[in-house]
Amino acid sequence: MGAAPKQSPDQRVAEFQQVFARAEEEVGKVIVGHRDVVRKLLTALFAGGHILIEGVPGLGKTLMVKTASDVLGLSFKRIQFTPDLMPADIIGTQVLTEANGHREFVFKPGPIFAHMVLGDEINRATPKTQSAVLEAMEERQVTVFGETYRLDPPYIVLATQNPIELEGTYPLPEAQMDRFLFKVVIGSPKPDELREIMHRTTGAQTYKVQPNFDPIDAPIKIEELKQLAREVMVSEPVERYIISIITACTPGSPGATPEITQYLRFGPSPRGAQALILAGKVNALLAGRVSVSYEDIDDAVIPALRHRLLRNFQAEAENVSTEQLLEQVTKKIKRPATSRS
Amino acid sequence: MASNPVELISLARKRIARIAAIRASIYFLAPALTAMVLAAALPAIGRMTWERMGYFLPTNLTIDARLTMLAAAGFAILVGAFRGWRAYAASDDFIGAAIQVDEKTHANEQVVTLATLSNPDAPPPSDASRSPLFPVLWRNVTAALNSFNPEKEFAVEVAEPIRKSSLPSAAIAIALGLATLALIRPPLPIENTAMQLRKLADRIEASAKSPEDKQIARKVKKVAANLANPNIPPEEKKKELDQVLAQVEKKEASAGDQSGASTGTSKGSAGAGSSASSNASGGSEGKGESGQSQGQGKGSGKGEGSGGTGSAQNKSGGKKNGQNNNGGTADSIDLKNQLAKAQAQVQTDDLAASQAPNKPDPNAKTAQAPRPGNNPNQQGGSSKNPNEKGSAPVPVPQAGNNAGNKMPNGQGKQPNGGGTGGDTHLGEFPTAANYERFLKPGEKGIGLNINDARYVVFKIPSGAPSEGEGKTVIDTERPKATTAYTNAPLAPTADTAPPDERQLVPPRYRDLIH
Repeated sequence: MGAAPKQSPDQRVAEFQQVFARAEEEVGKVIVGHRDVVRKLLTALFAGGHILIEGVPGLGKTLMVKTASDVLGLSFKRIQFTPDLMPADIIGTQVLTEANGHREFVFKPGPIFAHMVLGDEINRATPKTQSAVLEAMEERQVTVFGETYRLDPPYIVLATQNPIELEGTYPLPEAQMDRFLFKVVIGSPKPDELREIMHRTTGAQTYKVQPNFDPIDAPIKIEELKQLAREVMVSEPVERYIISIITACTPGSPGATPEITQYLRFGPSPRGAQALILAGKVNALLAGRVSVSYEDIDDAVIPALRHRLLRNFQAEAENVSTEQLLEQVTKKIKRPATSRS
Repeated sequence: MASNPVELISLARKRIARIAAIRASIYFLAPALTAMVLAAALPAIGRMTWERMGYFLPTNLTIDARLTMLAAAGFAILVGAFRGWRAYAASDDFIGAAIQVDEKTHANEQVVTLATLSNPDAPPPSDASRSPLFPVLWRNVTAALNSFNPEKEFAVEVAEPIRKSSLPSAAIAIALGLATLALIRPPLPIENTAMQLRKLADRIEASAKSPEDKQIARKVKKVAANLANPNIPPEEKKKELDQVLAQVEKKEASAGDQSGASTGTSKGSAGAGSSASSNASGGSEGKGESGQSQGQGKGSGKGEGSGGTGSAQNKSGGKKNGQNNNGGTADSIDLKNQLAKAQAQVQTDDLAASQAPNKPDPNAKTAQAPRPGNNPNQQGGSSKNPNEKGSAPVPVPQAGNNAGNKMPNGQGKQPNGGGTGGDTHLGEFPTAANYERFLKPGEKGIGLNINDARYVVFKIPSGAPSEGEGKTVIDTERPKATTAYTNAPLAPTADTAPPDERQLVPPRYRDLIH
């Protein structure tokens, strides 16, 4: 944990807003459009979660993550997941080295040892390799030959996956999907955005981003801002609202809607509720508030829960998406009117 | 106004709870008011059903219905109070009030969050530490509630609950209206008479020229009210009727004294026979000793004399005619007729009530003579029965009785009218009943209500054993009928066709009918 903040609460909130806004602005200098994706990326970072980005190749996913890391002054590593990628290629391995006249095994960290790790096309790797990332994502540590190595905070995994190239891919298991705070989908750019992309990428002018923090202080600053996000308060009715959303998305539960029961096999785990609250807190800070509102939660429902719902065969056959189901749920759920309701 | 957000939320909480209680209670207030208004208006509704539809809402049923409606209204009020109390208890919630305050101030759940962390009903544990951002929240909420006034923001709106409760109110009104329709019935004869008396009293009171008239009107109203009241004994009713009748006659007599002398020879005007005490409902007639004009009875049984052609051939005819001319107004005549009718009905009801439980022994020696005065076949005003050896005085009909030929509906069979109005129903002669209605010597008879009777069977006593030597004394001074009793109409009918049916008089009546 970082040192005790010396600023007043108001100053901390203002700083959070400034950092976030500048990061959005700087990333926007490089990435055309996709403002919502950028915001979700930064939200996941300050909420302390990981993010899964889904989109066709060539939409700038990797560039977006790289730019964000540059803006925030954090270290960045990229892992290209392929079917022959081994776990040791990710987390590192013991290497026999000779030093001072004798040989010894020295741990050589893999690319997972960075503040921001981009797992490109993560669904191309085998499940064995994918699971190697599990411990790192959840525990913020890796274990090699019985020895545990902690990952320096802040730590965020940004994974991308290609939705159409299903051949030769290994869909992420539910356990791993559940570890991502958000799953955001990048769509194709609009015509104006595409034109701007052409101008920026084919001209002679290069765009450089201005880092928000000094690379040395950046991890501490980011951790302070993450701590600030966790200090945001949540009222009891909002908590019950989140619970009602989770319950409504769980097939077989008393609060489940008929569509959920019809089209889902499994609903979100408690990590879904945690994701909603954390994302809601960041959203509240971005709005200058220190308490979470219903709108903050609603804004996070689809990115935080869409990958936690497991559709059944009927839903796939009828092409019913989890996003459609979540939209129906949020429309049907009533916000608590009183504490006794 | 409090500046502390928690105090403001507490104020709003009480306000919201009170409003919830009022709204919940109002849902039941409109139905209760409807029931109470209907209960208050029920007598008026009963009068309207009588006056406009001819149906009567009995007093006892009216009272029961009003009590039921009032009880229903009371129950609705109690339920409303209970619902109000429950609504108050349910709305007396700090967090719930904070939610509503938040919605009013568009504070994005900041007020709710503050209320959650500062709920006086559920204070946080002592070891729980508040967020370092709590001061920011407090300041934000204070700013949001700066101009918040719970009294103004949470106004009592009763339009919606009243609108919603209008449906059950209408349902109650319709149900009670239908129940009222189910309760009304055609009036009993005595109630009908009471109603007529009330109307007459109103007319008399409206056109009263002297305090005496008003006094009579008031008494008639009281009598009418008591007449329809089954709880008042018949004796008392009779007594009251007698008193009023006497007062009316006294008043007429005084009016006749004043003007009768000067118009002593004048002919009776329309409505002559005002002194008649005929029992119209009985369809009987009495022949006055004064030789009063023969009234033309209406079939409806209403004692209304119209053929005032006083012959003035009796000794006091001038005086009587003068009385009729001046003292006997139409209302007065009607009043007397109605009073007489009421007397007869009271006596009939009294007799029916007394005979119902224990039927007298037909062989009893205390047989009573038939009631005089109402029997059209009886000699007019005869004080003695020709077949009776005893000297039992039979009451003589009062002078000026113009009820002759007043036949009730369907009872007066005109001789020339033909028809089958006789006792030929399927060739059977009805079995007579109530042979026992004989009068003891000195008793006054009662009126017979044969208004709707199909048959009337008379039985003349065969004779009563005399206690003395049995010497027959002919009463030469007994009043003689000057006009033959007949059921024939006063004016000959234009229909000269022969009757459809001719029928022999039953043997038992051949000696009676001449």
